[in-house]
Amino acid sequence: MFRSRITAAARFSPARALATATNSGSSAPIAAVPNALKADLTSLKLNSNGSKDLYAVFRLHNMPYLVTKGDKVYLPFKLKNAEVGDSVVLNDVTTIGSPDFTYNKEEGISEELYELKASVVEITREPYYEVYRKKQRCRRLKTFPVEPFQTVLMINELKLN
Amino acid sequence: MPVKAIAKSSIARNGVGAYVVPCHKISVQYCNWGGSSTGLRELLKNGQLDNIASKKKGIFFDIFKRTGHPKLTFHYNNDKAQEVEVANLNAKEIEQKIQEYSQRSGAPLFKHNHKVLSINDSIRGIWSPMHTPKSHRHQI
Amino acid sequence: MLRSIARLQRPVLKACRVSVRGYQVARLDSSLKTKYDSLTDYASYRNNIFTHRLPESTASQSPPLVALHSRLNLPSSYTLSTLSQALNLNKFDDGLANNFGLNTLGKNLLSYYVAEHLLVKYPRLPMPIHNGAVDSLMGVETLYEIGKSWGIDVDQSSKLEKYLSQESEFLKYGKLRFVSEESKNDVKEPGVYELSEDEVSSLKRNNSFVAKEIEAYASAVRSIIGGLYTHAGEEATKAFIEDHILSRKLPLEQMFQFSQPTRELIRLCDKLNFTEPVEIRLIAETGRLSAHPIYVAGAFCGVEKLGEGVGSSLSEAKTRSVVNALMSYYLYSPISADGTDVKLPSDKNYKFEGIIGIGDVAI
Repeated sequence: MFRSRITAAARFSPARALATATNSGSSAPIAAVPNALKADLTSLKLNSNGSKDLYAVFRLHNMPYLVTKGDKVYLPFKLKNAEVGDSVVLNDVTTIGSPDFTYNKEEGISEELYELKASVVEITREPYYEVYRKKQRCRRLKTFPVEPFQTVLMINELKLN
Repeated sequence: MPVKAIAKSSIARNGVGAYVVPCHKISVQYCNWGGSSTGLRELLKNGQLDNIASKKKGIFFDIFKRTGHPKLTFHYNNDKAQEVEVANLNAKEIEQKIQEYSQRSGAPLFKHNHKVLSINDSIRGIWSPMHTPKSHRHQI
Repeated sequence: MLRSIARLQRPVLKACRVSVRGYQVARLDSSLKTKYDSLTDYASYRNNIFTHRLPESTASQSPPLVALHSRLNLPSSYTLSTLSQALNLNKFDDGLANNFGLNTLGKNLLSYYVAEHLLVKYPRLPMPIHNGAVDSLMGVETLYEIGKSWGIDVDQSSKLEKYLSQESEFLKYGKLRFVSEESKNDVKEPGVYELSEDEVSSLKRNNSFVAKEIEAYASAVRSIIGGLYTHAGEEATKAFIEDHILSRKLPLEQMFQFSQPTRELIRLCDKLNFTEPVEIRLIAETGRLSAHPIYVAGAFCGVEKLGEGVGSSLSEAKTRSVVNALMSYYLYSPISADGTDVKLPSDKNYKFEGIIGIGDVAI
């Protein structure tokens, strides 16, 4: 499940337009929730002091991340098709909460209710370390140098619509 | 005066609002004679570096000739410079190096053992055992 | 040494010094040799110093300048020569126009938008905190930090050094130029920083000084904002200030220093016409004889809880509760009726929705 959209926001890098990075074949993108079922989030909105005190839990590759506005998210991989300065629309949100209220929907909250955006701030690596592997019937340890990629996202927009 | 102000500087959050690329300058040093610069010379000759530079408009590419092994120096906005040796690398590998290091922030590499790094206060506050009714508290 | 004590009549005016924030007052720069027919006839003002603007064709050949332009995502209407002018603080070196005017313009724009943001978003901030917050957002140190983060370099090499290293002459147009040509040739001792005359004079006044470099960076940042206004107009400038300056995290809750919080809270409640007296009540405790006692105190006004504090002694808990009550009042931020942020006076269709603070309390 990887439902984030990467868009080259005109503000950051006008030259590139990136395609929607969706690699979940089975799961269809969240369909628009019918109006009758649409949740009324006014209490959440008022309690969050105009979206100032708001947190959200979004999922990326099915891994939950609890964020507020201005947080840095350290992803232990290189985000596909993303470059530094790109804007990422995070649209798989399971929970939105204010100090007193929570709205939670495991299958994903309708995209119209909130806005959660991040910008790709840094694509870097973890510090160098070595992994040792021992094979059977071999006396020697194999040493593998590891310096995995890291992507840092900065949450720059979290608000209720 | 009832209340005095303590001087505090506001904290930069690059990426909230505007994003400014931390790497602002790349110095490309090559040698016109040595064999270790072959890849870099090719990169310069066939216009690939021009392509890279035109894609990365915010970065100033400073190209100069000097004897010795070729070197890339990445200058970041935290006054740090990262030198990368590109001796005996081919054009493609050098391009990858440029791609990789120009996307860094110049801060030393570190592994953050949590998924999210936050400078905000917790929205929900911190749980306190003192705020439950006395009858519900844990008895020792 | 003069040791005699002279008893002088103290002037009455000095006894009650009110600290006021000085605002920008236009002052003529004597080095510009401005001539005018009469002081109030501004149209007759003429500077007699020879300056010329950098041709756009020259400016576009300076790679750091072009890179800075695109790094900041400035609109194409923003000319490179203006950007180069914004980075020039030297008045006499090569006859190029300097950033004096752009700096003033940028400073005024910045102070307007920052003040507007703070006054509307935090209408109850006490005056000293408001001033501190303005400094925190657009003070010299902060602007220096911003200028650094924009990757602006300083032009420090002299003409001779540039010639010897075969450096292109266009390079310097994209760099911050504030070091005069004579001082570039001065012998510098590594690790020793020689104060300039301005820095020494500022040192005498308040025992701290602003380094010339810091001031230069701040001035360049202000000038870039001023230049944006001249080329792209007010909307773009506002967006730019919001993106680069108002998006920073402002640690307001760490900026309060109360001298007598309890008294202040009582005065505040008086001012707000609360009829019930302010009381500090103990909400919970771990027990006085416990190894590490913890008390939770609340500041109440009748049945309303104004603030709550946790401390390891009764007085600590009490003070914290009172401070929290004060902070929750001062840091109040209004929202509009539909739960969105209140509009700013400079926004379109602005209708007043927020509140106006009742002024500071005196104790």
